Amino acid sequence: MPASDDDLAPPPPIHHLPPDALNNVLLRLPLRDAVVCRPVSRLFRDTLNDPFLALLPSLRLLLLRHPRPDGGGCLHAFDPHRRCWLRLPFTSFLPHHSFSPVASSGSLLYLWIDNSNSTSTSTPALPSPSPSTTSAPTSSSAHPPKALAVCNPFAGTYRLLPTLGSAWARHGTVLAGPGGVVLVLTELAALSYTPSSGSAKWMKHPLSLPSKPRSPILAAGARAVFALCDVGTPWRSQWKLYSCPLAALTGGWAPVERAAWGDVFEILKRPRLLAGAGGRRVLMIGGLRSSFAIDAPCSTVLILRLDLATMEWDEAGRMPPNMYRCFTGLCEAAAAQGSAMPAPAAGGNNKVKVFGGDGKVWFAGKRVRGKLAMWEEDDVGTSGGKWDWVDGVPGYGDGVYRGFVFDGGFTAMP
Amino acid sequence: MAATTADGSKVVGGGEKSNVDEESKMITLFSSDGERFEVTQEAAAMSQTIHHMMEDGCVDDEGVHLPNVGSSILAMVIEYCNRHVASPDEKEDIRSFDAGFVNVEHHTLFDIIRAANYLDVKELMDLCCQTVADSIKSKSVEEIRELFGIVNDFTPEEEAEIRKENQWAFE
Repeated sequence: MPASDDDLAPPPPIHHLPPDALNNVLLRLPLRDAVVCRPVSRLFRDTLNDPFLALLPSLRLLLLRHPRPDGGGCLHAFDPHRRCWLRLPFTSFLPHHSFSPVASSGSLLYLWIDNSNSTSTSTPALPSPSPSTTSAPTSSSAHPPKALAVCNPFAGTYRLLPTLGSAWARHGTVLAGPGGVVLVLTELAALSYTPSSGSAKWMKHPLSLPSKPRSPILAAGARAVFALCDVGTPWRSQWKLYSCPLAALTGGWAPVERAAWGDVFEILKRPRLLAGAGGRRVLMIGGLRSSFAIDAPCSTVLILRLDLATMEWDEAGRMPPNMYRCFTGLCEAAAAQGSAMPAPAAGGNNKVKVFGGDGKVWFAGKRVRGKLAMWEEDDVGTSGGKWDWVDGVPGYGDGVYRGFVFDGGFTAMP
Repeated sequence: MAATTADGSKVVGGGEKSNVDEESKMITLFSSDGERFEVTQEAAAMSQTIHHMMEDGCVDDEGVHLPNVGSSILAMVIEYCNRHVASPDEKEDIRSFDAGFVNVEHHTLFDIIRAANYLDVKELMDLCCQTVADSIKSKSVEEIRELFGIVNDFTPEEEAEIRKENQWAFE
């Protein structure tokens, strides 16, 4: 209850603290606790304004990309430190209908939204969709133009980037980097948006890669994009690593290889790239082949790490066998039999979805209901990292999730 | 001043001052209520405020008057400084001393913070502010108010609005 005018009780001692001292106390709080303090009293709310909160370390989260277009109404994020799920409603400040969060950099989140109200559409000359997509018509009336929105869901602010043809949203991978730099990569071209360049336009860069770039990532510390390309045959994939400096997106792509690497790309099935911790490492994750036969089953998931300073690969971690068996569905079968685990079957629906960033990797699979496996890269790099299960994945029944790392906070605004 | 380590051997204070006179030179501090405290210059110098006064030659024979600090709080601050200059390298002992030192009621802690702020004793400020911050962590809004005896000066609508802005933190 608010204090009445007649109340002669002195203001509480904390309100007597000199401002420096109160700031000193509040600056030591984790972000979530600082936000909880805002409704305590007017003094607290006035002290804990957005610029103040921008001084606090951000909250490291795993953001899930919900399979439904309405995003399930809010963003779901996992806090690995407190091991709980958060809901970030964004429909209150983002007045559009369909959402798909795709990338983040610092405390900025990037989402595709339907931008049907837009009158001008910049439709870059984009090649027709690759044959693997559905046979839906590609006329622009069936696919409304999309825009990328950059938002800060903690502060409740957003900004739209210039509109793009819908094909970019359907086929492009969005990469976000420091300073508000955004890239959208497709098979034949890349778009880049650089706020500091002064022009509020997307720049187009043709790609001259031997095949569609797989799993492109941004190594922020090295200011370069990395991707895998398949330079093999239709019968057998052969992966090669390519990179391009952010400053040279037109014509800057080149293979990255060293003689010492040997057959590092041969031992993984369906490799994916993710950014390693600190922005100067690249993680390559895939099924560890049990033999070089084309359809050999995988014995587990292996995480290799490329240190961009030394350009050497090492093993960063591998999924514990009892965890991997859950992805192949064998733990259920074995539990039913009550006997020793059978070997994993060749082929089969063992696909493991891999996502994350900054040295944190999450694994989802159709056979693993309602939970994710989580791996955290270890700083020193010798212990194989930490493996754990994450339970209570919200809305699991709608499909398998993807996601990425998001550092929630107030430090950067759209 | 000489200090004694845990195993009983005597060592000269960590400041490695070769001038013994300098170490045992005392300075007088007066609290707001007129009480007199004798402290070594070394301990007093933990207060940047007093340290600058000593350096600038502003301290006369009479001593330093501290009109903003009451005697009971000044006694505690002096105890802290004495302990910290005595054996600055014995981390375990200091940690357990510090833990006991801050185990006081919040209003006393705030008085110490005000004194440490005025006297500019950084280590003491850090210790006390960290203690207050630690007591806030993981508490609900109501618990925080109760802890500090704060009366809510928002209307229910205003409070609901603020909570809604960052709903995720309150679930």
